[in-house]
Amino acid sequence: MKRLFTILLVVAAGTTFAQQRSLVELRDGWMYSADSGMVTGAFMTIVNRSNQPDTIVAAKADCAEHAEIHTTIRNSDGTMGMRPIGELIVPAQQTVVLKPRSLHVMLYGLRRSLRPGDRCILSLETKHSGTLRIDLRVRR
Amino acid sequence: MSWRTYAATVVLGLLVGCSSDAPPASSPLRATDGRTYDFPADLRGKVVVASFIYTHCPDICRMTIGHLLDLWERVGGDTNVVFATVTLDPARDTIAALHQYAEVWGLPTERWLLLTGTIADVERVLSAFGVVARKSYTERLPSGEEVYFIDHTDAVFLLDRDGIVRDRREGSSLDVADYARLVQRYAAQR
Repeated sequence: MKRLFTILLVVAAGTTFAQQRSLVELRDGWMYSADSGMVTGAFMTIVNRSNQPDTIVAAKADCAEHAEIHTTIRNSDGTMGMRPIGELIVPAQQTVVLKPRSLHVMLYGLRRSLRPGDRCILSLETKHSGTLRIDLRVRR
Repeated sequence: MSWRTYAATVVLGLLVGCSSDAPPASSPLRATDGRTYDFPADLRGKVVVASFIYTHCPDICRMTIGHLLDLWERVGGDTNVVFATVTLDPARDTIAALHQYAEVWGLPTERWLLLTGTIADVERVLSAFGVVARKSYTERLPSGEEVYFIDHTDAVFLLDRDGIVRDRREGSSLDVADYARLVQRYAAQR
C-alpha cells in the first residue's frame, strides 16, 4: 500500500511538472570565456513546440551588466559585423539556433571572470511563455 | 574615411588577396613578448600566420582565435612558424589588454605574438594587408559606460619566409586541417 501510494505520488508529480513545463524551451546553452568587465557571446537552441509563434523580447544574465540579442552580418564590402535586433521571433513548431557567426545573445560588462567550466544563468523574456531560464556553460 | 581611400583599400585588398609578389609595407608594432617589430618585415625568415582581431569582438574574432588555437596544436611545434595577431582596435587594445586576452585564451605567447601600436601605425598595417576596420555602433550600458563595436575584414594571411602573402582566407570559417597542410608546405620550403 505504501509502495502504491509512492508510485501514485511520483506519477502525479510528473504529470504536474509536464503540464507546467513551457512549450517553449531553451537547450544546450553555452558562452565564450571572457574577463571581468568584457563582452562575450552566448548561444543556445530555442525550441517552440506550441501552435503559436512566440517572441523573445528581452535578455538578462546574472553574470553580466546588460544583455541583448544580436545577429552577425556581412556587409556589402565583405566586412563582418553585428547588430542588435529588438526582438527574436520563434515560429510555431520551429527551432531557432543561436550560434557563432549568426544569432547570439551579447553579454556586456561581465561581473566576474568566466573560465571554461564556470556557469552563468541567462533569462529570456517571452511574449507568451513568461521568462525562460538556462544555465550557460562557459567554454573556450 | 573618404570614398577614394575606401576604394583604394578595397582594390589593395583584392590585390593582396591575389597574392602579390611584393611583401606588405611594414610599420612598427609592439608585441606581447616585450619587443617592437617592424611588422611584418622583422619576421622574415619565418612562415607567418597573420590574423586581425579585437578583444571586444564577441563572435567572428573568437571563432578565428579558436581555429588558430586548433591550428597551433598541429603546426605550433615547428619553430619555423610564427603566429602574429594584430589588433583592429589599438585605442582599447593596449599591451596589457592583449596579455589579458592571451591569458583567457591560453595563447602560447612565446611564438604567438599579439601586436598593437599607435592608431596611425596599426592603420598602416591594416591598409598594407587590405584589411578594413571601422567603428559600427556604440552601446550605452546602464552604468553609463559606452562600448563600441567594429565592422572588419575576416581574414587570415599566410606569409612565406620572404614575407610575401601566399594565401588569404576567412579566419572564422577556417578549415584547420587543410590550412595546416598549407602552412607545413611553406614551412618545409627553404
